Amino acid sequence: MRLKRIDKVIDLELLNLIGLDPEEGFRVVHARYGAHLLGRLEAHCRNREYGDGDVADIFQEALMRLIDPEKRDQCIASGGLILPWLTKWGYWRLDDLSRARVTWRSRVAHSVIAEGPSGMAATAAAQLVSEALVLLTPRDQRLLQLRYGECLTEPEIALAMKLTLGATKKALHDARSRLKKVLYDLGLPIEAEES
Amino acid sequence: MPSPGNFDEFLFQAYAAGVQEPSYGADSAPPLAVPKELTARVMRATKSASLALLADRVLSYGKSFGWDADELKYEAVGYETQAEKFLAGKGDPRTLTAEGVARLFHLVGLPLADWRTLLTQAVAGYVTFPASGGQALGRTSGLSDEERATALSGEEAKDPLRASRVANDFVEEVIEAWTNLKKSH
Repeated sequence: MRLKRIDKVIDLELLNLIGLDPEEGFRVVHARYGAHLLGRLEAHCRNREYGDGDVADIFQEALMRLIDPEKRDQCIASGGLILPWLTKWGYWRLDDLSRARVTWRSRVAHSVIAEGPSGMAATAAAQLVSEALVLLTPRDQRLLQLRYGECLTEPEIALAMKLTLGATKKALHDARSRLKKVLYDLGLPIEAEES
Repeated sequence: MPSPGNFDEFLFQAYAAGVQEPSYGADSAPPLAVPKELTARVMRATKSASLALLADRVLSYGKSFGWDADELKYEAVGYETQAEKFLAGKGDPRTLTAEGVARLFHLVGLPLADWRTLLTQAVAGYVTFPASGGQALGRTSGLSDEERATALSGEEAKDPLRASRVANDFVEEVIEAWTNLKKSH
C-alpha cells in the first residue's frame, strides 16, 4: 500500500512534468514504464492470438494520450497511476482493432441471450455485460461501474470523474449507447440506437 | 422493444448480480525492451504533439464555421506563412506573435480551457538555455528556421521550470490579446 502511494506521488509529478515540458516528461515516463507497457501489450496480443502487427502503433498511441491535458486529468481521476491507465487503454484499443478481423461471441448461450433483457436471468446478464465491457473504453467502463455498479448519482459521478455535470450526463449517455450497441452486436434483442 | 427505463433496470440488475471489470492475464507479463527505433519515433512525435493537437482543435472549431486552414491563416495578418505552419502543427508558436495566435483562437471561438495548457506545452518544447547557464534563447520571433537553428547550434540544455516560465509569459500575452479581442467584439 505504501509503495502504491509512492508510485502515485511519482506519477502525479510526471503528469505535471509533461504539462511543463512534454519531451522531458515523456522521456522519464518512457524510461520508467515503456518496457512494461510494451511487454503487456505484446502479451495481450499473444493471449488473444491477434498477431503483434499493431503493437508498436498502439504503444505510441497510448503514450501520446498523455499529451492532452484532459486525458492527464482522466488519468488522475481514475487513480493517478500511469502504467495501469496506459495499459488498460492499450488492451481496449487492441481488442477494438480486432473487431474488424475477429467475430466476438459471447459465452452465454444464444438461446439465453435471445430471451432479451426482461427474460434473462440476472447472472446471465452479468456475464453478458462483463463480456461487452471489454469492447468499451476504460473511461466508459468506469462511468458505467459508477452509475450501475456503485449506484452513484450524476452529480456524484461528476465529482468522482472531475467533470462538469453537463459533461457527465453526456459521457454517461454516450457510454450507455455504446454498451447497448455492443450488446446488440452480441445478439441481445434490444434497440441498438438511443435517441 | 424495451424502453430506456427497462435497459437501465437491466443494467442495475446485471451489475447487482456481479458484472466483472475486465481482467487481463497480460498484466503479469514481463517487461520487454523497447526497440531504439520505436523510442526514437515516440520522442520525435512528442516534440510536435502539443501543437498538432492544438492545431487540430483550431481547425475543428474553424470547420464548424466553414473555414479551412487556408482561410484561417489570413487572420494572422502579416504572418500568414507562420500561421500556415502553426495550423499544420509545426514550428515554434511564438513566430506567429501573441496577437496572431489570439486572433486565430478568437475567430474560431476556441475556449480558453481548450488551448491554455496545450499552448504552454507547445511553446515550452522550444525553449532551451545555453548549457553554461545564461539567458533564455527563448524569443525567436522574426528568425527564419535557418537563423534559429544557427542561433541554437551551440550546446543547449533543457530546464523545465525556467522553460515553463518563458512559455507562461508568452501564453499570458496571448490571453491578454485574446481577452481584448473578446471585449471589442
